[in-house]
Amino acid sequence: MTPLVVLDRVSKHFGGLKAVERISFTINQGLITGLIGPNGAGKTTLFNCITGMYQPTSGSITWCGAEKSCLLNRLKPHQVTRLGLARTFQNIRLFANMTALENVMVGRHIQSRAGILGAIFKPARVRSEEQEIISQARRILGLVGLADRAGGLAKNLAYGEQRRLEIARALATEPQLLLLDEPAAGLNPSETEDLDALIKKLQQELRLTILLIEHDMKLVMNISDEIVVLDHGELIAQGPPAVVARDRHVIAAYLGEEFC
Amino acid sequence: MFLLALRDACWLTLLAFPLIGFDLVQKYGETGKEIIFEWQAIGTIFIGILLIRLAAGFFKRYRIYRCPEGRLQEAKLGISNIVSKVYRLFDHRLHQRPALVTLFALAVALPFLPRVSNAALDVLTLAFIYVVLGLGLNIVVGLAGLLDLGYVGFYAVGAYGYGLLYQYWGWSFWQALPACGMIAALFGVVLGFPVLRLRGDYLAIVTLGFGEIIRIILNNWDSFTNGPNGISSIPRPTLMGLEFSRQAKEGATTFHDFLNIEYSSNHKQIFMYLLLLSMAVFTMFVVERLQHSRLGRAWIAMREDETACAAMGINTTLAKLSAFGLGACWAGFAGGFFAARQGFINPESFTFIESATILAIVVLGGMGSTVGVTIAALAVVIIPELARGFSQYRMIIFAVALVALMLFKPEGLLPAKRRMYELHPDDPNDLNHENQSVLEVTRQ
Repeated sequence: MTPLVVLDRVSKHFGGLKAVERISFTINQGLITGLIGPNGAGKTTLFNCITGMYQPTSGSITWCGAEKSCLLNRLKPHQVTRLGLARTFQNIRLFANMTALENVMVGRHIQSRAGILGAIFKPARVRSEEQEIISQARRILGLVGLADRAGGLAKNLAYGEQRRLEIARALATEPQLLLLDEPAAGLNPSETEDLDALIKKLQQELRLTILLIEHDMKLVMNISDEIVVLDHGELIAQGPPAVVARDRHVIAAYLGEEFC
Repeated sequence: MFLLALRDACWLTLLAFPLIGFDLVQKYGETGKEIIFEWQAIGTIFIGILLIRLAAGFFKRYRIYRCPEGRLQEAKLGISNIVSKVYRLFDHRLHQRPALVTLFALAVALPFLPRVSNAALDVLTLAFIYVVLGLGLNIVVGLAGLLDLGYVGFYAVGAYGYGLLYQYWGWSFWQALPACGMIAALFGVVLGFPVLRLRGDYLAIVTLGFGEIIRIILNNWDSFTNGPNGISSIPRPTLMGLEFSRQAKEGATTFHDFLNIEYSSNHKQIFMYLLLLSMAVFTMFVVERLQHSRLGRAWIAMREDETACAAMGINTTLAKLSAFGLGACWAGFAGGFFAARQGFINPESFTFIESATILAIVVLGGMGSTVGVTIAALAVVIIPELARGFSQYRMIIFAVALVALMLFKPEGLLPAKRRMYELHPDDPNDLNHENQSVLEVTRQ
């Protein structure tokens, strides 16, 4: 099992608040790692540390990608994305007034080159690059089942479709690691099942590594290969789903001490 | 509906009252002033607004229909159907090109039509400068979503760029024009750096300050810029070295001598008109191209959500600086043309009200909509001119037109529509990779 991201004693403090405290774990290549914990446990903060939105107060986050290995600590979000990490957001952050297709086309930004002069003069190279962006964006929309919604504005899509569009947009950057922040939040049971199938498909067909924050326990237990549990900013358990589900600390954190 | 209309009419009349409700008149031989109430004007305004409001309410009832993609779109029935048909003419990509080419041909032919006065051409020339300014600001505000209230600063940089290059080194218009654009773009990037972290209101205030700083420097640096006296006798552009004056300077030829025709001041006017028309069309072309490019999409994405935009791997610092730089570049060109058209510039031409006017053009036209901004720029310059007949009510008519437009079309004259990328089944580029997965292409 090869590690893709290694977190070593990562802490993030906001003033006196210790949102994330000395967390160490490894995201292994090709696996789906579930990140769970009660509200306010520090899951999204940890996500933001990995993707460059926050700088960790201390500790190190090491990227061991196919092309190069480096520390993620000091990188800006766009540099992190260029390394091969792509994320979705807990509260949907689509480009609301662009069409679904254009949202995905924006995701192709780092896979294309055209600059200012290219945009104005449109030489053959830029034209074919633009065609390439469009056809790849269409294919990715098809992958998440939104092919027929390509022309609709992102803000006019149904909630479940918006969630899938966020995933499509992240896929367009061609990541090695996909970070999904509560992808099933607000979905109905049948949409959640579709999402389950989609995530499995991404893992198996595209051989993506996935880090997933989720509150839907059925979904997490079902698809995760590894689970990491946070509570009050600290790591309280990690291991395969079956082990974590029986862990005393986890039951205590979710249900209270008396259920142990 | 009638009650709503009545309420609005009362409100607007109340608001208009202090502006036009009464006059202070000093009677002959008396010391005090007398207030005369203009009941007629008040009554006209009240009834006028009531009728407009009723008509608007009437049209609002019948305006929603479903378009093929299932998106809700606004359309109006009745009289405004004609208006919406004209809109759709520009709206549809297939119609857009022929419609624009026809308009361009008309615009080129305009100065040669009979009964088109020099004054009209002059107004249109100025309007085209504002088209360039509006489209330039549209890059910054409409596409990249950075509220810039100091845009006039770059306009001033362009105008003074040409003025000073001429004054100190005797550069001609055509030598100075690219320099104007580049200097202004440089200023845009320099302003961009300190405001990278600011958004919305804060950005607006800093840029407002920047615009004022430029004007005040120009006003006070007497030894370099001539202060409030400005720079005068800036030469007009030449056509391949041919001048449009009555008598040529030493070593130069005039246009009428070259063609062996009678001198006419019309030539100069027509030349300026055509020059700025082509500049405006060129700007439209470039802005339209930029908008639908990789860079343009990055700008729009940044406007929609900066965090998500950065998460897509877009360097938002570069995107912001390029938007500021390119926007300022067009202001610089416009400034160069302005200096050449006026022949005289001083800091008075570059006050905040200019920034506000250009911003109004962008908002009125519809943020990010090239055709919309162009129409708005023409309207904003031409309407006050047409309204000259109303003498002191001129600016009120203009203001009422602006308010009415914002009330009834809050998204602007021609709201920007997102381009639909059609799928062409016979396009080789589309079929090439049909059986490969996107991600596997690079993975192997």
